[in-house]
Amino acid sequence: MGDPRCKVIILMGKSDPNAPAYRQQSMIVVPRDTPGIKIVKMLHVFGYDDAPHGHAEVIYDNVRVPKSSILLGEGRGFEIAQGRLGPGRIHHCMRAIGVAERALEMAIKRAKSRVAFGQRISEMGVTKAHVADMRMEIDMARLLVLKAAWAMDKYGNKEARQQIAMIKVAVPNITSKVVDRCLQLHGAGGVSQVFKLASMYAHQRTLRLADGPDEVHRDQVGRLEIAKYN
Amino acid sequence: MAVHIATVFGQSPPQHTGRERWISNIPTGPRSCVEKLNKFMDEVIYPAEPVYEEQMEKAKDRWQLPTVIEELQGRGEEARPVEHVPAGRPRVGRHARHDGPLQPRIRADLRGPRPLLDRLRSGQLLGARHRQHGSVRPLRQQGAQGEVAEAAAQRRDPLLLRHDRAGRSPRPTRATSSAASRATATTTSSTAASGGRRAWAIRAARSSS
Repeated sequence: MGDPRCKVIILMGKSDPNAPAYRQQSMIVVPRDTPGIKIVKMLHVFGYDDAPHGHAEVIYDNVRVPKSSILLGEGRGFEIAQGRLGPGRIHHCMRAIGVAERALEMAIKRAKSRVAFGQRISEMGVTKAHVADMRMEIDMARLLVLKAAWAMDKYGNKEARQQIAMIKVAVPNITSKVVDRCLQLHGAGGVSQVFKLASMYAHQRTLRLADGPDEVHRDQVGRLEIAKYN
Repeated sequence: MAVHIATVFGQSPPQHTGRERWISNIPTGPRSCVEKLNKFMDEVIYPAEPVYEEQMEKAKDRWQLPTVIEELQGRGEEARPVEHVPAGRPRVGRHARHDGPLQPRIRADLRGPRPLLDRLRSGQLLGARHRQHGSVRPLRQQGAQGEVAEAAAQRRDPLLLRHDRAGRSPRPTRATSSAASRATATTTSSTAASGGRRAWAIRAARSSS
């Protein structure tokens, strides 16, 4: 909402708390310049303000829009969100794997170019162990995402929902660990903005909360797994 | 050997760097996707990153879109891979209805009345055994239905039942212990005593009857 090009807000809120579950929310279109919309402040994510996109704390004080601005219908907000979230989750996971691969490449190049205690960092045993662990984790995550993509293509998003939930838990966790180890291999420079690893770390950490936190997806995976054994 | 190569080619073969050797090992279809992506990243994205950072740092107002992002809009099409359709044998005859890996037809009394898509509720395939017997789940269900009901009727704990029957002889059921059914069921009980797919079907039919 900090971007000056933002002209339209889509607000998702509970329209009927007494309705059955998954029918309580609606999405409604609100023009940005409607009177009553107040930005309290712009929030930070791990210290980054993510300008010009931004994350705003907003108060809607007696904002009135016509009833026809509801998207799709009253009580169907959850349906709209879930329709996009399945493909959105695999999109996030694919990008996370790209981030992990890039972090690994940066870490190896850095380790090959630095010498400490009379030895190149890439020749130390602990570096090779770290790199091996990261390589295995990234390959496992990549294959899991490819399998989820295959299952989505072959059986559809609803049949593949366990796979999608699995990658949504596994991949941001793996990428966070990989980026953390790469940051360590860079030494003190890893925490600065020069190597971009610090912002990668912050973004991957937020992915564990975006599009459904880990806890929700683990609950779903466990429930679907147990339901297989009637 | 090395001398022979040198005289044939006139020079030593070119040394690939690690990345080029990795790319040259990828089969031809996907290789063009990888090369296209790498070219896009090297020529368009990586040079734009320091420009973006400089524009964000030096801008008077951070809450404006940097010009480099506007310039890059729409250039993502350059990295889009051309779809690679692998050549395959046309499927004819009884394979014409399959659009995935070929599997042996599963006998109707083993797979049950529910369709395949309904059985695979999560798209999860179950490994090597899946190709032999189809989905394992209906076999477990068919065997379990009768046995769990029987255990509950006899006030035994159904959780103590073990259904992993690979190669094990069956427990004596009430049906086989009676003399009358033993006389009539000699052939089926001997088959049921051995392991295998046929034994499953017989045991399942017996316990559900």
